[in-house]
Amino acid sequence: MNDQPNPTGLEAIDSVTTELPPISRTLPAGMRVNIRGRSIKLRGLKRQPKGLWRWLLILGPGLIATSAGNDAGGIATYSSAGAQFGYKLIWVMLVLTVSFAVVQEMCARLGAATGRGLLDLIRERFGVGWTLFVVCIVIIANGGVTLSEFVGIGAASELFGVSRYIYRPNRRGSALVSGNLRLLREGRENFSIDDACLFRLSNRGFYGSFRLERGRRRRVRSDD
Amino acid sequence: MVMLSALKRFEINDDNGRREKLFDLGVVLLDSDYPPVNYLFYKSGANFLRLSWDAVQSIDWKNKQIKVSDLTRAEEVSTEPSKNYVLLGREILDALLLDLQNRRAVRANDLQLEEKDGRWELRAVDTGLNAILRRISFGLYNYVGEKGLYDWKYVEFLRGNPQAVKNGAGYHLRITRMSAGEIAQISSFVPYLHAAELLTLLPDPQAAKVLELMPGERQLQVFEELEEKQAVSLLGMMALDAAADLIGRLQTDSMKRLLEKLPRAQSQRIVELLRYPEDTVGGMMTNDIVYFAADSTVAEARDKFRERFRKTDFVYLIYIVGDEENRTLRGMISVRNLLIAEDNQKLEEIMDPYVAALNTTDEVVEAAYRVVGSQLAAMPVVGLNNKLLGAVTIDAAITEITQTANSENLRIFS
Repeated sequence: MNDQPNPTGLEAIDSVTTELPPISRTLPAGMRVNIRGRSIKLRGLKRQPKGLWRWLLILGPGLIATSAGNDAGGIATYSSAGAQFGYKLIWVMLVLTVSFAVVQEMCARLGAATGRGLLDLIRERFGVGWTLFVVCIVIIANGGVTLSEFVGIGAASELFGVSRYIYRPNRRGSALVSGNLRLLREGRENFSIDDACLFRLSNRGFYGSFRLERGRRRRVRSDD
Repeated sequence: MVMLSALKRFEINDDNGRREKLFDLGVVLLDSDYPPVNYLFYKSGANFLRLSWDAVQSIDWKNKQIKVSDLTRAEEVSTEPSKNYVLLGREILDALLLDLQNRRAVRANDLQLEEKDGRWELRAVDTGLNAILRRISFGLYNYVGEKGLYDWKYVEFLRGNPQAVKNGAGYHLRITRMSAGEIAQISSFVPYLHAAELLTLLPDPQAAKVLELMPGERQLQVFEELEEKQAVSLLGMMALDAAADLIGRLQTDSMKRLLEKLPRAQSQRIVELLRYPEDTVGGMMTNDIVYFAADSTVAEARDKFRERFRKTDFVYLIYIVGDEENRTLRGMISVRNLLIAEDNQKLEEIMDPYVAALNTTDEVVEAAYRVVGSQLAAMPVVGLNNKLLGAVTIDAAITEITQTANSENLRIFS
């Protein structure tokens, strides 16, 4: 027989309520909208940003792209061109700015309107031959940019008293590590062909520069 | 078996010694699973000419020549895409295709044709690297690997134009045999115009389900490409909470227009959901639930059962309220318990009175964890005076937790 005493201090079943004490929160103001002649305040809308915030959102991607353009290679090139020619070549910047703006806006509009990348569009419109041609051009151009990057990085590292032979492979190493982290984080499924190519090029570049540096060190040692 | 890249090097000649270079082949996609070639195309000066396959007399494989009776029988056609046929080289080659067997998007690097009853048929699409090498090697490399070949029967060809279906373009429509979740997943691998086109291929109820299951950003991109008539139709078929989320992301003008075109009752319930901020339980809940008054008998509830279940999205739990006007939450009952109960029993006798509930202004992530922790299909949401307003379903809760977990991961690693 169960002789347990009745529990005390519990609420009677009749007074049990499902209502929880509401947490006081400050709710956003919402937007008043007139629907079917009825004015209703809606707080669940994703409102378009306004004012300064809107302009910053528009400017953001452009500022990032511009900052990416002012890389080590660019700064090294601008400074050496300035040192050698003064302001004589400043007119080139005007022409370059206009052409950059035209190309970048065209690509951005194409992407926004079609949801596809430039290479996809070239391939669909002009076929695989022209696409490969464009890829080759991009590789050559980016190869030049990469070379200028390392020249700039080497020059900058020497300003701080760090040998360029130490800095360059480490820079590559950090790219390799970040690439590996990305691969681990996003998994193979989400790693696109473009990413894989860049990653592989990055690895190749790292091993290439490593071998180059090692060869130079050997030569230095044999010269000794 | 012959590849399109090889056929592009063929010439057409006739009995009178006239010669033209073969430019393309035309097929009517819906003729069969493996559509036969119906037309040969060639260019003569500025003219684009079409010749019926019936004019073909023989094919000289060695000299790469197609012998026809008379080249002058060709008719001049527009270079614009036609709704009656598709050009293999210009429209399908290099286009984005859906490989339905492997549930992924691929590019057509080459096309394989096979001769059957004296006519070429489109049999497979080659997506491999060998196909690219064949195309750029000018006939020096001819190896055809099995690995990248996909049966044409299980490939859906998309044009990247959401209006294509309306304009009468032909499709296999095998995509409709896939589940809505799989179609939503496959649509995330293609550009948004292709995804919108994919949605227009499906019957509206299936398209609405696919739209519900797409990630928010993709959902919006695709929805904005749809014609307003179809957009309203799909919204009307979507679960109310999903429809409210989608409408809440639209521009105010579009939102107002769509809400005014939806049936009044549905529009009002969506508006009720939009009154709550997105980061609160009110913004996550659905108000499309079934409830009965506590003093109803099981038999009365069963009578109303069919009508209410037909109109409602969430039907796995039935909420019991004091009366249907004030909707004071009293308890909950599963469909199973309602079905096995005696007819004359009152609902309050068989309901579970110990129901934990959420408040409309509760924080959304905490509430999502509570729903998952409750091991219930949904938790009710109440407002002032314990009034039943809706429920947060387990799938909405899991989606919320998954999104939060993913965004936290990104913050850790980036």
